[in-house]
Amino acid sequence: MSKIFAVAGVVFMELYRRKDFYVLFILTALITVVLGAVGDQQAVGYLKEICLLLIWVSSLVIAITTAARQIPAERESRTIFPLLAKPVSRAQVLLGKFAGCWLASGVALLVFYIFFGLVAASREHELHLELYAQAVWLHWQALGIVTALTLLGSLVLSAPAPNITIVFIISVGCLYVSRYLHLVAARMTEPGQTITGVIYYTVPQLWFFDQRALVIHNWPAIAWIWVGLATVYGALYSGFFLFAACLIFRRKALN
Amino acid sequence: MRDRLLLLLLLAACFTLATEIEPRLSAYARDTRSGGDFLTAFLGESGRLFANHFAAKADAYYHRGNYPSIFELGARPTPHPGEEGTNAPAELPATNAPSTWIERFGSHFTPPPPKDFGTTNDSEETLPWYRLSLELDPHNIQNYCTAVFVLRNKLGKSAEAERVLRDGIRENPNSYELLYYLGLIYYEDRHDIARARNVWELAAYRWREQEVKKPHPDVESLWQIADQLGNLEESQHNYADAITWFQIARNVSRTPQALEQHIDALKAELNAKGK
Repeated sequence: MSKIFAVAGVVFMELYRRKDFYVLFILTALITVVLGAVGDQQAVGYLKEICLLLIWVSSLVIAITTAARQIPAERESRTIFPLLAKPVSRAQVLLGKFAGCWLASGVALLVFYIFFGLVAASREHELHLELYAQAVWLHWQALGIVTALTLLGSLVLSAPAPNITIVFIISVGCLYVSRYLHLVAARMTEPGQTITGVIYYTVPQLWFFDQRALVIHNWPAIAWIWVGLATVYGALYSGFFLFAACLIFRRKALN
Repeated sequence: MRDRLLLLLLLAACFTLATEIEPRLSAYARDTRSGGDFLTAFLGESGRLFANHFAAKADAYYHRGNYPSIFELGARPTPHPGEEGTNAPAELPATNAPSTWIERFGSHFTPPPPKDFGTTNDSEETLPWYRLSLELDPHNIQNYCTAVFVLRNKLGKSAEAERVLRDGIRENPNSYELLYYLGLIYYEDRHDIARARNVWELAAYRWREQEVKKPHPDVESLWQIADQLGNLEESQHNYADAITWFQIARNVSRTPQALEQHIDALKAELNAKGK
């Protein structure tokens, strides 16, 4: 476990030396503040909506781009060889990379949500702490799935760019479209109906983790039991993708 | 010497460029002024697509986030209109029971169906979206009517509703629907009978101008205008005019019997007054 955390620590430090997070955070803050200043002073929903959308986009960009570069960058610079020469298995390297990316995304997410909380509280004069905590937690679980999927993609696809593009499209699809696939399937003919039905039941339903509608409209917090179950659901998908990635990485030629 | 020449050359280039760009910028500024703001000029015709999206967003805000997607709307019964005789945001179609475990599980993470939140609609929150929608598509009459309904009936902001209507009438001078709502504000909120009458009569005139020739005219609007004018004239004891308007309303009404009885009562009143 300590070996995994040692690798994760390096990844974590690397992300915060890069400028991606700072640029995205400043951009999000700037757009939100400008819209808040020029927009309707009575309404707050539109501001929360735009801010949360920017947070989701930024967090996906951070998680996907960070995870997609890990293994290819190590292979390209050949630092993977001295790393694997140490008493550390390939699975531990991969899990360390995942943990680092996921933790770094989580810290970035926390900063984003603190900013969001301040913006919302400045307009609403109240803080829905429990709901926001659930939103951050579930959002982080979604990023865990996406990070694991990206690491898997980085081992299957030859370069980071196609991997980033494909994972981004899959993530957006799982967020916005996957929940309706059964309705789409119901109107299709065979074999399209079965294929769409299978996709519906197999893809990770990332919209479980998207609490934006509840946060924007100030709905009460959901029962923690459902948050727990969603966490288990997310962990299963992350575990599946990581397991598949470990299997591929174990047999992959690195030179 | 060479540096000075270069500077002069650059100055000349800047001046030439300015004389070339300035007329174009002025023309662009004129275009954007006539077409609305920068957003309208930038998006052009595609603005209508975004306008529809923002109108749907406003509707979603009215229902506190519980709003069916295009996939669900296709799979569920057609939504029925909001409060009768108004332009309230449409009532949501009945929600089907979750058909899969994914839907059942996911329902815990989404806003509950409309029956669970009674009358706590987010009217105030809809306004930024309606404003955006109207800026992008200033010819969408339905969006004006719904925005005015929310402002006037839900938020009690009659003056702001009038401003929205005036903007709408400026963009759509022939719209009898907008004139009808402006008349309502004069009649019910300002109690300015003379102006309400003028505006409604203009609305009736605009209706005749546009709808009479159509195979399926918008009789619902004519009924609303004529009925309001009838009520206005009756309240002013102008029974002859009231009878005329009620007769027009009766001809297009779905329940003419009730109006017929009312017309008979007014005729009796008029006769009594004559004697």
